[in-house]
Amino acid sequence: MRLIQIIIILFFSFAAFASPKVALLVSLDNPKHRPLFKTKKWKLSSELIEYFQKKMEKAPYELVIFDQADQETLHKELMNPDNIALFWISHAGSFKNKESGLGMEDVISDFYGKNLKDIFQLIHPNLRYLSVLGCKAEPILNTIKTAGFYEHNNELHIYAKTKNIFPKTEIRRSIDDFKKKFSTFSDINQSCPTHKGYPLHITRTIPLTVDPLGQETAVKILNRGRLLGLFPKAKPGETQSRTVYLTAESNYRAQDLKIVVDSGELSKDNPQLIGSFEISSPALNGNWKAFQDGDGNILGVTHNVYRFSGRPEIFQEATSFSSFDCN
Amino acid sequence: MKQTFCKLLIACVLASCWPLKSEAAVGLIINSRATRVIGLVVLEDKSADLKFKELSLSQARLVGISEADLEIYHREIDELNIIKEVIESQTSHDSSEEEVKSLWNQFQSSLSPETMKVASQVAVYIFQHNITFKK
Repeated sequence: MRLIQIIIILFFSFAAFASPKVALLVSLDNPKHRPLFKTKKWKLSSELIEYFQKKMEKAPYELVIFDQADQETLHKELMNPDNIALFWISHAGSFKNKESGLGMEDVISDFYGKNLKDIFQLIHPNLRYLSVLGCKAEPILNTIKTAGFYEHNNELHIYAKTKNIFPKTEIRRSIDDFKKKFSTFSDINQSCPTHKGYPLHITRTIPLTVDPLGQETAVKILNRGRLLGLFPKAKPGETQSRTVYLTAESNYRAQDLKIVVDSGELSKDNPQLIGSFEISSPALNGNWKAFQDGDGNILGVTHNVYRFSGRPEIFQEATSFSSFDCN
Repeated sequence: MKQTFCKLLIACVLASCWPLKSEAAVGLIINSRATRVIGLVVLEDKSADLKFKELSLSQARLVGISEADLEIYHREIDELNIIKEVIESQTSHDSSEEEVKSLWNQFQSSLSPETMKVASQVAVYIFQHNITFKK
């Protein structure tokens, strides 16, 4: 009995003093034109990682580093309850013309040419510092914040810039900023925020016979621009299942009941192995069907739409769910 | 100090003479601390995509779109963007206007006439007012 007590005390002591994790995710290709005085072996991401490690030397945090990070890794690390800070370095771009009905989409792109700005919607409440080092990333994150996606991230400090940036300079500035703010971070709260919502059970199947040029891809599940979840990369013949939740609202309009499955691919010339989806929604009376052409082919190269057909009435009480893991 | 100044001067001369393409977005700056020339890359994304977006009622009035049409357009905006994407994937910069038109005609039955009407009104408005999309 005494031994068990000692083990429990030791466990909690270690837990209390475990150093918080700081994640660095770099997702950059080498520039087309190598800068002067750089050898052929020069790699931009390696240089930045090395610089980051040097700047974070002797810091009381455990560094976790990912090179060529993709949307799956970003999602996993943003949702990781052990991370206190996350630094993301990639290309980005924000556009001003959004008022004419036709506009450029804001982009935070990764090494693989995927737009993963939506992934930044879901951030674990334990994360205290988010640094997005890409050009004009600040307006993109402001848009996400204004839309209410960070309602449970009251203590989150965001570092991003409205202008074009030079990565090394901004890494230095951001680390200095992080170190200053680190002492002000409050303790991590272990209780997870919950919401009310309606479950959607989604099964994704990649057929065995696929376009040989098709690329395996992770797929975001979106409803009205809101990220509900992410399916990881899947191979031909693979089946995956997930339950995600539509937020509870009293009046759903027909256009609200739409699910977009999006690979995030930016080029129309790279076909994606998105697969086909079966969606069931026990709280809604109706079916979900893919947007297809007259021959029954699912339309879309980088993303597809599934539309609800039926009466958009809710006949089950909303259930409580949490998007985060707080164990 | 003199050596540092010389290095800076040489770097500045090299930077101004070197035929760098602007699209490459590769700049040269001097790392003041190490006083050595390093290349820095601007993290600007150039692969953004043009998409149909929602309009407010006042914007719709400006373009000449009725409220009823606007509602249907908003309902089908995701599908409209999917069709735009499919057409773009089947055409190139060399494709003729007729080819593109014929593809739009092929797919327009998948959308309601109101959505197609609003989409063309938006496109005409942008063309007439010479609206460009700037970062």
